[in-house]
Amino acid sequence: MGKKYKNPPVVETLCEFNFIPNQPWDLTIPGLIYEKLKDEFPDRKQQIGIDVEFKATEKGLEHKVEPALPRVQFYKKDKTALIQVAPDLLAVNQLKPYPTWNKFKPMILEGFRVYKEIVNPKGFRRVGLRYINIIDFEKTDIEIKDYFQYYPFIPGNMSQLHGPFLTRVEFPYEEGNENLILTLSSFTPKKPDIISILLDIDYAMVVPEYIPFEQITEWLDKAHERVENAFESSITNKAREIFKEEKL
Amino acid sequence: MIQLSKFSSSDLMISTGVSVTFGNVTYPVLGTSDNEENSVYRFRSNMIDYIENIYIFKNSKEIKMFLISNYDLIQILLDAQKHIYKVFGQVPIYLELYHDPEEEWDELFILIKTQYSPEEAVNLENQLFEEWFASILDKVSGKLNFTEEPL
Repeated sequence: MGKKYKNPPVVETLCEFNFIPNQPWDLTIPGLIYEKLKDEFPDRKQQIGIDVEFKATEKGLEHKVEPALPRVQFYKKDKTALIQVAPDLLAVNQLKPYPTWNKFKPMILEGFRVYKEIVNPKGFRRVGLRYINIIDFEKTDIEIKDYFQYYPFIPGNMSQLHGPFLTRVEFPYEEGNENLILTLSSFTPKKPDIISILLDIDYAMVVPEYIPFEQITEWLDKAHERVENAFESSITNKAREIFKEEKL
Repeated sequence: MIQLSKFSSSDLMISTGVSVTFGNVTYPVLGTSDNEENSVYRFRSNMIDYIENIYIFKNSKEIKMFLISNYDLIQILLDAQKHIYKVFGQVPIYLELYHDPEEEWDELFILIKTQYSPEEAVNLENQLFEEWFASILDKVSGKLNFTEEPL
């Protein structure tokens, strides 16, 4: 079991399912799913999305912005969690406060059960479990390596003082059928005079149909364990002090 | 060591949740996953980055912080471009956040840069107000405004 924190940095956790369809997408599907989930997720919204189209014309390259395919979101009344449905996509998102894995996992499985019952897809194209952490520092500068074990390496003959950054590494698992993507970057803060750092950990099955539907519960536990290990490996004790580790 | 910067992290980020269509084929812009952005948190941040492709941000960091807290303005800013182009033509459009520390008041301004004469510009401003801004006035409630400025 992983460490528990009084002030955890996680701002969002999500499980993303991309499916291989059995039949063309039917526009009535989101409504049918909503009927099954509306007691827990009553607030229905449509998320804006955009497609940018570039066309070569006599005047040069022109771009046109158009609405993307609709994505329907069903929110809990207190807006702490939502389920998103789009063609061949299901995402289950938990926002702050993150309850525990033992509470989030059943929500994922219930969303998946309902989607599978109504849509009857052929298999998984991709499944991902993702934890998004934001760490705010009320300082004008920080030494990243004081808080993170994973950070950009700046060669000694360059200035060690830098601005915004982005590091992203993919680690293969299960002979390349799965991977873990670790992203550490600066992030636009909510308030001035704050440095915000984003640590995004995404574990995914990336080879279509590598796991069958029946193994999803075990897969989620494995993915969660690997995300948790990646998180603990990426931070230092100084970061744990900010998150206020609760001794068990 | 990282220090506070005038620039924001998105200067380095690829906008996800945005796809690009060439001809009839739509390519999702790659993000953390191999498809479009499903994180509510990061989608919002990416949409703000996308807005920066449409408008020239005068004070980028402040505007982004303002939009994070006023996310309902995003759709309005996305729609605004077509209304502005329809009335003024394809002119440069800027965003600037005006801040009054004494009143603790912030307002985002769309600055439409044109070469029209003052009289023409006023007429076009009035036209834009009637055709678009009047219909969203209740939604923006002192958070967003627009004005024409000479280029």
